Amino acid sequence: MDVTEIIESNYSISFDADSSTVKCNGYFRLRGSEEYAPMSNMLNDVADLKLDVVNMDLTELEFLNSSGINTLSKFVLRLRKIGASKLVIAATEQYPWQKKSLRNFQKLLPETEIRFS
Amino acid sequence: MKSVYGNFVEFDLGDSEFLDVAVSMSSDSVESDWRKNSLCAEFIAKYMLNTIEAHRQTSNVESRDIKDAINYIANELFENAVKFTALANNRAISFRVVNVRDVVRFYVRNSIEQDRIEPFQKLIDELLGGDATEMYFQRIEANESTESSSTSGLGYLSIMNDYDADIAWKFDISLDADTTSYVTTMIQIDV
Repeated sequence: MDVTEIIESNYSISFDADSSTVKCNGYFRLRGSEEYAPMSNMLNDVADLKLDVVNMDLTELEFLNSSGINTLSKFVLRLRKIGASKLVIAATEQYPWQKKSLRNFQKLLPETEIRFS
Repeated sequence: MKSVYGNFVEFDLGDSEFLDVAVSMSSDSVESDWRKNSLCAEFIAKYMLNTIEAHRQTSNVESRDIKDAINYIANELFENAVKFTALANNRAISFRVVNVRDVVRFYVRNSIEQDRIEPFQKLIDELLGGDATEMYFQRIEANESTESSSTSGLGYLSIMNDYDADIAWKFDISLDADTTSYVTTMIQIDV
């Protein structure tokens, strides 16, 4: 993988190979697909690793706009297409949007497990 | 040309509490303009929560849910308004959020370029014409196969699908090339 982390002033996304975890922090409020492209490329690389399990830690992702939903959905769909990985999402009830919107990923990729803390 | 789409509820001063926010968009800094979305949305959410809590008891969880929902919807509305605002014509975006009993209604009004009106009305017809959940997933699946995906409509669909919202639009269309056209987007949720 070329890029394993993107860190900006109010958000970050990183991939830890040891724990097979994508961690999303902060506020994902980017303007459209073009601005989400670096993130999208990184997520494509993660999907292409064909890991048995991909963990996604969203417990510190406070905000996700619809373009961000689209970007993460594309990642889920890529996992589905490749068909190698199970997706496990660590979520939090602290940010109510997660209880409302993450279940949509389960509809895209049915074996997805979402663990709320 | 049809000007109202969906069940557009007009603002009634009567028994409502409301907040008006009007912002100007500048062509100087796209970044600064974009940041206005979250600045406004967060303020609006905190403000309206205070209003709602003044009228009834809410648990901590309910308060958190309400604030989060208003924040998300307001942010999406601002993002769309910013994308559509016809900078050359009128740089203002007017936002009103209203609380009447257990309902919150959002109204966002922005200018819109003449040549964007018809495609937008076509999109609206699609959004109002089918099942929101089905369309939400169709759009996500369709976006998968395109390099540069158009997320037009996905914001509205996420609001309808995840927040159980009603959406409607009203156009003030100018037939005169020198006068600006406007569109008002209305969203209603139960709180």
